[in-house]
Amino acid sequence: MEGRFESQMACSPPAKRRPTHGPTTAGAAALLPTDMLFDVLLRLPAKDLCRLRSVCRPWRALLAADPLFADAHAARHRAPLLLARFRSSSSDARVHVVDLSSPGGAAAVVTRVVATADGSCGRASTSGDSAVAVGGIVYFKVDKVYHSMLVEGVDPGILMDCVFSFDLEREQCWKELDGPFGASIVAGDYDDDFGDYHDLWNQLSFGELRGSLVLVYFFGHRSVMDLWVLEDFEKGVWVKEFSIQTESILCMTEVCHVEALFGLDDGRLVIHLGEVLLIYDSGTDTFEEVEMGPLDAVAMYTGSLLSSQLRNRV
Amino acid sequence: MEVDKGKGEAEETRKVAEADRDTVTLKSSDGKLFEVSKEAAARLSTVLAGMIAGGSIDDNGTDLKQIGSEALENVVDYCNKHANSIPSAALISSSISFNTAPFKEPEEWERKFVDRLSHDALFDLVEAANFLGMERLLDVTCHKISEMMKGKSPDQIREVFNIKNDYTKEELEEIRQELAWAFYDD
Repeated sequence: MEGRFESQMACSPPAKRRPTHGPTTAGAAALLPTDMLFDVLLRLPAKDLCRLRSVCRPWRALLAADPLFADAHAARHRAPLLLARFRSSSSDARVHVVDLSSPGGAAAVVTRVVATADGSCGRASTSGDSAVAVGGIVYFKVDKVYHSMLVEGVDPGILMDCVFSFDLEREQCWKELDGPFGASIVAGDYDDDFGDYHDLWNQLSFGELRGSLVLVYFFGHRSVMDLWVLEDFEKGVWVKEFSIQTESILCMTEVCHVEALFGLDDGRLVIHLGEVLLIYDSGTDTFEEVEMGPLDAVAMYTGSLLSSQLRNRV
Repeated sequence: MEVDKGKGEAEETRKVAEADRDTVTLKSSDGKLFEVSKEAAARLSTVLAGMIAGGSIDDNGTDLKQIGSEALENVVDYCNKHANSIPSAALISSSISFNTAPFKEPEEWERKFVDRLSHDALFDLVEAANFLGMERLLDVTCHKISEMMKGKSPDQIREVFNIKNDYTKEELEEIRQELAWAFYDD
């Protein structure tokens, strides 16, 4: 683009038009030269562009096979893409790409079936309930066995919100971290408070925010969702970054569990709660439900809808 | 000698007057003359800015042989409407991040400005904007054309943009199947 302007500043004759529109009928109306067509098409959403591949061969060459175009498009359409698997389609385990850039921002569009695999694309989030992988480390929360031990009166020796880590690269267990709040909650005689303590286990789940582990502590009945970010792994420093009021989504919160949570580049949070997907904007303190089928699993998708190949980084 | 000296002085005076003028005259390919605010032209068009700075502006009408009178009239109209409405700093910063920045939405008057244009006039204006290095006008016109494409079927696009379908039936069917999801309405 810059180069184009510079060459004209030197008053060179305009570049000869390349035949970008394919053969035209006689008496053709005005046609756009390539670089302007490029500029125009860059503005369209990926879904439109995929459809427009069938306009003519030169368009297909630009829209399906030009990495320069794909990169330029990706740079200008930063709306997040998600991978999703739906409960209704779980029998065939297909994974869909969901485009959150739809007009108005409210409704997401399930755009493309990318895989019929075993759902490995969704691993980061399917497991967000009890384990999550963040930056090469897998974190686990305490097992159900813990609950059984408490019932049988055995002291497990660790707190409920204890987090275990496993280093994927070194293939070894790393360390166990005390959670941010367990100690204060269980400081008293928790036999009397056993119900709450059991709930705590159900209310904990994992998420990821800016490459750090997040421990999500969701009290559905109190309409509060606390997000504790692990700021310093070595020292075990947790910072409560968000304490989100969830009255506005109360109808679905009582019995629901946070399945997965991650942050978008623009600061909004994607929360998979029960079977629905919510986008939380901390700036306006509002939730927006993404309209789609009952959700089974969700993860971020960093590939492009324009590329034929699934760039599978989740 | 006397006469020559007088002539030199007159030349000098004329040059000063020219430099002081706050408009430039542009000449379309079909010979029509248009006056445009020098400040706006320099601010909105990198090519005109270069010509003004380089002194290659012709007082009797700077030849723009690639631009027809209808397109040039629209360019001049746009510049004059735009005069003083956007500080140049905004334009400079926009051009720095040009390659990755999300597109700026046209302003209301800019929308109206391109909405009234015929299809051909719009396309001619895109090319004129491109030739003159008018980034903002290019943005506005490309935005308008992309709006015209949004949600249209390939058939409609071919019709509106006068493009011949060079696929075989089988190839089209293949693409449709490969990208079935893109053909569903939301």
